[in-house]
Amino acid sequence: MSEPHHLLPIAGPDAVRRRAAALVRQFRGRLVAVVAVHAVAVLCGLLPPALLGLIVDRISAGRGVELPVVVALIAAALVLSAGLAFTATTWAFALGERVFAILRMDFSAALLDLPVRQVEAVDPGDVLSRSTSDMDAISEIVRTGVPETLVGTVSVTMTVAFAFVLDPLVALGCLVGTPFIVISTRWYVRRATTAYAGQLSSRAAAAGAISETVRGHEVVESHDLGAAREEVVRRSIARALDKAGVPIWLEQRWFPVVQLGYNLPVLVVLAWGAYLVRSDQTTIGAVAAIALYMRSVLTPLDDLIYWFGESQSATAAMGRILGVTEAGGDDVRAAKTLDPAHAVELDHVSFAYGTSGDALTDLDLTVRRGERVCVVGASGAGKTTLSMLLAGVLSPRAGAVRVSGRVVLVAQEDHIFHGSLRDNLTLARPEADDGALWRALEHAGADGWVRNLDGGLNIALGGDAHDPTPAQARQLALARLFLHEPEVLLLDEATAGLTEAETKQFETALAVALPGSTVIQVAHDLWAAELADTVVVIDEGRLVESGTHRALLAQAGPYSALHRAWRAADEHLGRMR
Amino acid sequence: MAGHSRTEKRSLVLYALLSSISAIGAASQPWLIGQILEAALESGTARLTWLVSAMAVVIGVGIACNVSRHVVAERVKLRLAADLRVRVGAKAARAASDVAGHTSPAHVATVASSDVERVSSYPVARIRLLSSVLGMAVVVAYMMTISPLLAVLVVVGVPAFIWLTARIAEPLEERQDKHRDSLGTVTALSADISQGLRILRGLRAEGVARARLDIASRATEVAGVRVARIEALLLVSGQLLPGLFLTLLIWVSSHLAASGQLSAASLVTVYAASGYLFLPISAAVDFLGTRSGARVAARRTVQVLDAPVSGWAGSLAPIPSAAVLTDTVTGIRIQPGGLSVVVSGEPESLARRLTALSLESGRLDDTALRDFDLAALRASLRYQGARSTMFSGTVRELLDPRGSHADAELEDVLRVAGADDVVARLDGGLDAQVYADGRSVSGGQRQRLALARALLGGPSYLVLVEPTTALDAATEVKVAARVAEYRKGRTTVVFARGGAFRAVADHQINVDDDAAADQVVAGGRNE
Repeated sequence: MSEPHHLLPIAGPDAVRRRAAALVRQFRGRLVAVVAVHAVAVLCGLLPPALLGLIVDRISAGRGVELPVVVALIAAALVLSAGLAFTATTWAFALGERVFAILRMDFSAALLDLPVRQVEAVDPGDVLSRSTSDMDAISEIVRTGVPETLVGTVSVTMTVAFAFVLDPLVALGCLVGTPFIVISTRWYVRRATTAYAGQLSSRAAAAGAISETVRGHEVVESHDLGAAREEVVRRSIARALDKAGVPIWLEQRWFPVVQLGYNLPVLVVLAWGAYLVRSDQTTIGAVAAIALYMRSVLTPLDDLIYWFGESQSATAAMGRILGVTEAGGDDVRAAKTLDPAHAVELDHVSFAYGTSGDALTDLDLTVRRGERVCVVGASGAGKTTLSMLLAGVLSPRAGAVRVSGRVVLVAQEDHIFHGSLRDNLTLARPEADDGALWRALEHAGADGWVRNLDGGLNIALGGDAHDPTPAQARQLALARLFLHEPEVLLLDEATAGLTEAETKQFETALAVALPGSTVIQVAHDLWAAELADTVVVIDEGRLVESGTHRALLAQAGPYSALHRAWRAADEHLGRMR
Repeated sequence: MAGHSRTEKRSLVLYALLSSISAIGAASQPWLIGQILEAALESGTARLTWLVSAMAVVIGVGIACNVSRHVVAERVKLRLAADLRVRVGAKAARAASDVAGHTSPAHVATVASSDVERVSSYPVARIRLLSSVLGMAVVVAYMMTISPLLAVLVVVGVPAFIWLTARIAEPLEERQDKHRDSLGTVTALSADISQGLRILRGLRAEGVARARLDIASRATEVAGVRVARIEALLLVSGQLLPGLFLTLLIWVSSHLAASGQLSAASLVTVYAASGYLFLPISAAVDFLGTRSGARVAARRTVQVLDAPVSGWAGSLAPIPSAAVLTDTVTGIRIQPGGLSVVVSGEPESLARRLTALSLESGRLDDTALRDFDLAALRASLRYQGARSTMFSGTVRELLDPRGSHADAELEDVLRVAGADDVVARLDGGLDAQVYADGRSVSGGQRQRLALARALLGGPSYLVLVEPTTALDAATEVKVAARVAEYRKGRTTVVFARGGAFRAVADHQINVDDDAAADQVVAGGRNE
């Protein structure tokens, strides 16, 4: 009955740029510090070749050199350069870690702040892949790529600039490689994104096939699927190997050109420099220094090109991460004008899915604070639609839904959270002590099996230690409810999968453990109806009857018919009461 | 993880050869630079032209070798990683339960996705280090022609620096380990927020979840900075140590040059060559980083590959098709050929014993299940637990992983399990793609698909645990009746708390879990 799952938005390149710019503003001080310190480090590093050039010139001209002074200068420049470079690099790496942590927290915070409507409608698989594989994809670029790009840009720019200061004519030779690098890199980047995406996704598929096999070990063993799974895994690995060939093919074409771009400047500076020396337009020392500079930028240049390529695919991942923050929109629900004695008011509410007829028609319902209401009706009568309206997932076509505070909707979905059993419970109430936790477990009927676990409340769940069965996970979800003590509790078939005894125990505990809560229950079993203050019967989208269980039974209306049918079916099924 | 195949060995030799040529080429560039500068000061163009051309050739050959060795290395790494992945995958498939019991699916996922890559980048890194040492030998050789004293300095200095670098890198491995662990926690917590989002919102536990993530995130950041500090130190020491060495070289060689024992241009050669000494050192840094990463990864990989496999001794076949299935712990007896409903407080463990999925397993007549041949037993005795685990693939692959059944049979079991409408609604029918985590189908739909999978092929004995909990009452009754009809004549055991299966059962057995085994109430016919 729910709306189809949809994907969260994906932020465009502009939004990614804006976010990057905002981060730059936020860390302007640190960035300036990194760049400044590194610039000084590079400057110090540029001194030795220049001094060496000086020595060469002096010796070639047959003049003397103050060797101890020059050598001491070189040593000092190198030590200073290394010390500053270490400082700048450490700062840059720390900044990368900080920014990555911020992006990760921003993403989770945005996710946690999504409007209820979005939360219920998003595709969980989409969100999961954004929080894991997309985060991984930007992790390297933010933590290593950004710092190295920062450092590399400063190194290359300063070195080339210094070469021009030293001798502009000779330094012209430095630029000869640029067209090769620019043109070939553009060619490469245009193709690389898809090639790498294909490689990554096929590799993820192969790893996924393997871990799926382990996750489904029970089925593998009981259905004797070892050989079949091995075949699936082998095929997916072979496919991944095929896909991985494409980026290599691209690199095979791109690398020669880009490396030509790196190496040509040294050669040209030497040949062109030799010509200039012979025509007395420069000194041999300047040529030597600039040739040495061209060799020293090879590594930072290589880093820059590498990260430029990487940033292309990271932009896509970044767009998917930032998309979550764009999925805004408000929760549209009138919380005003609610009678203080009431927990819920439905005022002439109608609702339709798409263009089909009304799923709910002109529904009027008032629930007092602390009241227990059970909504019953045949399958397809509109019970789930009603609970989604109450939870704020759907908005009425006409009429108004007013609810005091936030409704806690418990549907048939469980999740075991990373950490201990205690962590799983204290999500609902962080300050709860052991006594409260055990009481909640008892109400949910889970104290028995928990007591039998090695480690009790501290046992790690999910992984190797203890993997709760679906029924146990359900009980933990219910125990969390008892801890949370919600104002308005909306239960949609919340006890599915539990035994009769466990269901009855839960129903009884509900009244004892949550005396102040307003409870609205949607159920096809009529157990809950017998214990409720008010029973509401829905048929074909209309409220056809409401009152206490006894009163409605006495009325011989739709409820008593429903109840009779349920009793009969139940007895036919041979239940023992 | 030694022992490469013949092809890999040949590729590695080729890689070593190409690396050596490019290392020799790169190492001879400083000499050429010095010679070109010297020639620039002389008159006459012949020598200069010759030297510049030689430099061009050296650069060209260097590029060719570099590119080819990169391609060879990437291919080797890919193949090694793929081989390792196949081994991990085969182990995971052949001994899924043992691997799951010994590690965790998340662990296996990390091994299969990133650890195998780290392990397979090790052999190439080692050769890169060796070839750069070869390059150093070239440098030493022509240093020898310039000045033996300088050559001795290089020979003593570079290994000393490599040793020093290794010392600096020592804490790296442990710090990387810690960082990976805490990153794992962060990933798990943020995956939790995605998967449990509705629950967290319902409980207003956003703050708690955010606080937990925040703590883990801070710990990761601190661990990351600790790793980065060592990395920065390695990076810088890779420049500083040779830099100081260089100063020494310059000092010595400048003296030689000033006294006329060395040409001024050779001074540039010495400088550029000592720049080349950076390379073995940075290769050593790379190598040490790769090695420590590979060690951690290899340990994790071995943990999967060496997960102890539980044995299976039995070899009896064929399996009798109409024997009494007995549980030795509770003593319950399942009569052949009918549908038995069992009510037990611990259905999973009992059902697993009845299907030889746990060590204490049941019997068929007088023969222990574990005395039968494993493959034969699995073909005729099947278990479907309460978790409706599925594998990604088409519906057809999901139902029939071995591809041994006709479409008509698939449609038959889908109908019996009430899943025909599930498949009809999927785009592509039997060829529709479904995903393991079941995000493309709902819980009820998964359960029906899993039931259909269990029914396919008609095993002689079928044990189902709570197969219809996620279905509404009407569908549940319909499915139970169809299953009973479809399984007529074969033994079916259903652990169910609801009444739907009881209504159609031939036998009902209530297991009093608290009491001793002999207090089992054997149910009569329920009609």
